[in-house]
Amino acid sequence: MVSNRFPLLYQTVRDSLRGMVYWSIGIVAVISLYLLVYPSMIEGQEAYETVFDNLPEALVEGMGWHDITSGPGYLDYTVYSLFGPIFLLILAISYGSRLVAGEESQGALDVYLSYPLDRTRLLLERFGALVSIIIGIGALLGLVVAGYVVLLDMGVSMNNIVAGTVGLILLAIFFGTLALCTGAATGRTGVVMGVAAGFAVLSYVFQTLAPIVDWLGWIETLSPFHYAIGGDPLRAGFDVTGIIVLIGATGLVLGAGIMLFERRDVRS
Amino acid sequence: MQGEPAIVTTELTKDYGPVLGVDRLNLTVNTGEIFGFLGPNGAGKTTLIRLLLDLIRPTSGEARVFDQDARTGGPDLRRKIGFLPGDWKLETSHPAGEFLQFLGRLRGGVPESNITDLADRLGLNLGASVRSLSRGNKQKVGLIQAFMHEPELLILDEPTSGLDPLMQREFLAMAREAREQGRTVFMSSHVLSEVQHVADRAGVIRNGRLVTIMNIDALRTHAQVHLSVRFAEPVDHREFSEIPGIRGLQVDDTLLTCLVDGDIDPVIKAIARHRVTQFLSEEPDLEELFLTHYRDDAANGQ
Repeated sequence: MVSNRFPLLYQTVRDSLRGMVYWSIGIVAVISLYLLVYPSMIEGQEAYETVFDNLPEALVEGMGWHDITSGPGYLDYTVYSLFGPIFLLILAISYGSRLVAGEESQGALDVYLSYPLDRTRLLLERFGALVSIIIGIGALLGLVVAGYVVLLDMGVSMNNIVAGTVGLILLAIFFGTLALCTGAATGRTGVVMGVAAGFAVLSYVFQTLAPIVDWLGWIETLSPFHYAIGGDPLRAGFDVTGIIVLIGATGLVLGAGIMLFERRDVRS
Repeated sequence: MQGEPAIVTTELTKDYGPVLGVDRLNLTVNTGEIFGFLGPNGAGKTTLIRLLLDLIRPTSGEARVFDQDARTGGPDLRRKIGFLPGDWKLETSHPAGEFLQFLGRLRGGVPESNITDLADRLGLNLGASVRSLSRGNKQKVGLIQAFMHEPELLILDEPTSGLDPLMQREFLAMAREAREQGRTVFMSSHVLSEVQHVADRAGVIRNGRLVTIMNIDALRTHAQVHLSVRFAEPVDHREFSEIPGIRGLQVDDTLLTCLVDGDIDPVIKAIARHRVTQFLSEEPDLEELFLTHYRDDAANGQ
């Protein structure tokens, strides 16, 4: 049984279930709010397009409004580029920071590490728990979106919904792992927030600005968002390169986290 | 029950930069003994314990537990250890029993009866949510998880803190039983009386340095006694001051107080020459010896 083979992973997920229910309710509510507006968007399509035509090109481009009246465009603008990543990243970073650094400040890490459980194992079980939680919530998001796409006839294929959702999940796993491993490497929740949340906000901004600011073009390639949603998965489907880059980056962060965690003093 | 030592530290040093955690500490704890580790807060007790568990790494020197380097002993070594941390906030909302079973699974499984027996003994309600427990009851959760797998070595940081006197006594009984089974108890404390009651030997640490190791049995058998004698008539200071082994002599009219170190017979004989109205003899407690030690150190310009 999982509870015996990976007790820490199992318990971490179990302890998170109640929180996950609230996250799920929130996700369903916000997706519904956005997507139930979609039909009225279609009705007023011409009026919107007139408005956007009169706005500066850079603004429309930067805000992702250029295609907002199409099914994929609307879904991308509302869920996959805006609320989805924000929601999943907050979830991932808050769990990621709690699972090592948060426990350390409560003295619980001392106890776990005094057990026959080496640090690598502890971090890997926590990583497993984090991934499970993110996949759980991310899959729910994908399912709800798929339901609305069918219901409202938004013209996005299931394959592309899966592609977009996988991108979001991998993005959240990357930032969650960054938070987890920053915590494992430093033991300070403050540093975790600074590094993981700071990097997330910066890369989101770069990703958004890159299309309109020429010299930011190269910097976009440093943003994990670029690899998750930059390939326009709702229209183009899976971005294999992006997926490989995100998984690779997550692996590197995890490896560095393990190395630094093994080497340092646990804070008292 | 004495084989290889349970704990050996060699010139063990942890330098925290501005402060020294522990400084060139040489200490041996024998298998099957209760070793009390005494010192005021901040003296380095917790630092030493965390070094033994590989939670922190020494700046220099070495700590060996059951002849394995604490640094590299890994899970196999820690399987033999039960640890009670000094500062554990215990914020989980699970019932205490479930939480302890989870901790048991982290150890690869612990018989449930071990947990319930210990809980009965310490009077802990396993159904109560851990977060809602009082400080004393949280301490019981900590003690149970340290004892539940019957480890060969118990490393306990301030085990009685937060416990009421009855439970303190119960804990001391548990420690003695562990010793009877040939297990080793290494406990830190700043409460000297409990160490005096239970320990075989006690180390005193101050500013990260091991000041002294006391053999508590030897201390007890060593005839050292406080005397307080009231006479019917005033006595002369000089009559007693020459007796060997007498220290801190004070004669105030009819009241004599002193500490006798060694043979008490000549003192009794001298006292017996007078009519005595009150006689009180007391063993000095560890606290007194301990404080004397600190004072001596301070006097030496430390």
